Amino acid sequence: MSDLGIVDDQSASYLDIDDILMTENKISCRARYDLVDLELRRTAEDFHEGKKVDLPIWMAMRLNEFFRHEIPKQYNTHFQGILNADPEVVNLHKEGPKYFAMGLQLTSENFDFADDEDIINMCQTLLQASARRVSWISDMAAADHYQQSKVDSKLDDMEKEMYAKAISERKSWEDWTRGMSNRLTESKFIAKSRKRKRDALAQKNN
Amino acid sequence: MSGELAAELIRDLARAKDSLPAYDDTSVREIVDESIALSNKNREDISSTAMSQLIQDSADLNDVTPKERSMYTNVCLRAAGIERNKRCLVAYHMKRLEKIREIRWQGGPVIPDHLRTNLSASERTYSHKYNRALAKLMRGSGDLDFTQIQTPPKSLYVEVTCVEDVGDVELENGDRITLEKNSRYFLPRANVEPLVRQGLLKEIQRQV
Repeated sequence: MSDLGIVDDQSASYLDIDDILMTENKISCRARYDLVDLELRRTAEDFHEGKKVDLPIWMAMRLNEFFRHEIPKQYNTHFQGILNADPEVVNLHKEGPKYFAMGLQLTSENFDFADDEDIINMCQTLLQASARRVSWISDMAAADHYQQSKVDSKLDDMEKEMYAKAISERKSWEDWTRGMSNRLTESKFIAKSRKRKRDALAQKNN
Repeated sequence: MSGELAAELIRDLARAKDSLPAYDDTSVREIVDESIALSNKNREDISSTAMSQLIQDSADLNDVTPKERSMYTNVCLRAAGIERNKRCLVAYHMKRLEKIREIRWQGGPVIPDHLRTNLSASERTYSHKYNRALAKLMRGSGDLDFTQIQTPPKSLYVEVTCVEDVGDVELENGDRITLEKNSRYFLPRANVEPLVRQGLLKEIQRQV
């Protein structure tokens, strides 16, 4: 998710591959009623009231009439406390990997695990955490010339994009100061397929 | 669970970041078949007497038997699955078209062979039509090649080495030269740019 502005707008992110993958994440749900022969999986199942099942977000949103949702543990108040205390040390890739986008999705009115106050608290936590992490990321990108720190593996997907962008911008600035900007470069599409072709040729010759 | 195939399709596409994977004809067809099966089942259920009774009375979900309630749930479940499949399929095809356009802008009007085999028949038609539309637009604006010089140039000539045998190339002034592997040339930027982007030439990096 490169642009958080479109999260609110369902139709704008309709074609967004990242958004589709994010809504594939599962959350636990509990049945509100006794249900029989439900075609959730390949074989039909019976559900009695309160039975737990993990559903992908897109399905859980549509079935909120029949299932109660539970807040995923990486968004509960305990985890929010951790995130508030020290946002930089948390490994959001492990919790996400699309942590912020999913968090915003959970605030939608289709979910009912919290009242408005809790939702506002959660949004505040997410906002503060992301603001602090962004300044931390930009510091890291500016300082880490050889990319030796393993910071990348701790970032959520949106932050990863940001980090890569910061690194590439710094490089292009350095190139410019040495008079090396404005080079012609090979297209990445063609470079990749070309490499594959060369590998295939090499294999054939062996 | 419905929607699993569609998710796998999207995951494959997301994994191939800067390349164009082969068009997944089988998966696409399977997803369409799955959606049709779901919608047939839904139609069957909705037209059944139990369901029409439920809709007519607009009964509370607490008041009906678990069986009727489950039938309603199943209908919603399948509808969600159909919508999800549709969204994934549309997103899959749109993303691929976007990539095809990018290849046109980066690699010129001829799609390299190894990429072309990854396109479906209709995608090939699309690429063809897109080419024609672009060519028409460029002709209309005085034969300007929009795909060239995408960043402002500093000099009109560049020094390049040849990575692979290119063969005959016609320059802007009408001269023809033969570009051979491992030789250096000093050529007009406009002629060289598409060849560099195709990876046939390489600009010589001069340290200042």
